[in-house]
Amino acid sequence: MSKNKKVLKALLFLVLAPGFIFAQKFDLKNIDTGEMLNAGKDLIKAVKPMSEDEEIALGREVAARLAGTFGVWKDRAWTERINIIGRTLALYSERPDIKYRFAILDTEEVNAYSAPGGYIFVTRGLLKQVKSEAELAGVLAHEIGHIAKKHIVKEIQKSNLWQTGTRIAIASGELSSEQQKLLDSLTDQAWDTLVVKGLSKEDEYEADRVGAINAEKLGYDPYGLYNFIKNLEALESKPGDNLKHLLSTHPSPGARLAELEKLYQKQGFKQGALPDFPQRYAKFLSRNPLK
Amino acid sequence: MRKIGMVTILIMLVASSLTISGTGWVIAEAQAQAGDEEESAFWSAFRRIFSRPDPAWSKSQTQITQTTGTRGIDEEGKLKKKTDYESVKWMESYKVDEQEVMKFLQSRGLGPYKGKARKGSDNEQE
Repeated sequence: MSKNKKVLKALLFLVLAPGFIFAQKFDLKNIDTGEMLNAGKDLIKAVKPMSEDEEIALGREVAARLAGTFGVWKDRAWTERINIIGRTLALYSERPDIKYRFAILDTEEVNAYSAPGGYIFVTRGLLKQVKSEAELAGVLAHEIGHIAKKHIVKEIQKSNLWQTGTRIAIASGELSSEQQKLLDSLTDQAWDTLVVKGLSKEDEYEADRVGAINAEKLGYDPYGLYNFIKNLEALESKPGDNLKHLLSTHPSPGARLAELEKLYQKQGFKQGALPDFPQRYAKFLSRNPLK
Repeated sequence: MRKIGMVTILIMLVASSLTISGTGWVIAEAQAQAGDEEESAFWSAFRRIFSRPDPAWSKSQTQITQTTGTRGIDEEGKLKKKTDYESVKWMESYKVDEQEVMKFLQSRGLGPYKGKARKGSDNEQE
């Protein structure tokens, strides 16, 4: 019995001692609990990924800026065409459950943009450079790939802005002025990544790979994207500003083609094994001119 | 030094409790998207029936994200504050006719009809 008591005392000592030492060692009276709470929230933001609602909210802001900057060409036939191809392609992506929306920017520039949360734009100028439906599918699948792989979201999550914005970010319902300020700053950052600086080369290669594979899964020739990049390569030597932004925010067409060739070899894809529909694209284009 | 140790421990406690209940910020405007429930039901059914997820593919990809240097900064950055929410609402509420989707896929041998395209289907009238 007395042996048991000794064991019990020893156990109690082991349990209570750390708390006792802790209380003795630290000065509990002079702790700023508010500061600690805020520091704790910051820590959470550092490890907490962006939620889907947050991503959509951010994507909506970026989409509004793209639409405001370039204008949206609301042509019914073309919008329907890119939505049919884009939405069916998205079903084969790694994030098939979010709503993907496709629209055309009213500019001669050759480019495409994918804002977080599923907002995808191609330019009227890009559609003019496309020679087949498989090429269009390749481009759309590339953009879907950026969203499915959360390329922009990851860039933002790495930033100091995201990691320190917690105090005003945790809220619900209506936006406070502080929250609006944070959202504006995050949108600035997403814009800079998407439109000004561009994503990393590795992200672009990855979107190419994912795009080609998903286009093939839907049933299009996976060389569609390759052929479209070939078109860009041919344009590269011609004077004009329409390709300037795309080339400044993406790896060179030659480098992208080389990366895709590796993928095709690895996957065993053969050009022409699946349809690319150049005639259908040409007919659609002649019936629905791009202004 | 003592304070730093204390703060670290308390941060860990706060972090663990808030991680459980953390909700993140929710933007009311983003929630106010078009109520296209009918269309969602179609796409969700479509996904269930026809899409062929490939688990091997989703597992095989490594996710590499690196930041490269600044490329292509120009005057476009100055235009970034122009916004057009009306067009975004239009984009969000844009609906695709279900029959059109199925007709499109069938005529080309895509999706659920993959490999069933008729010869010369590239020349067919739409």
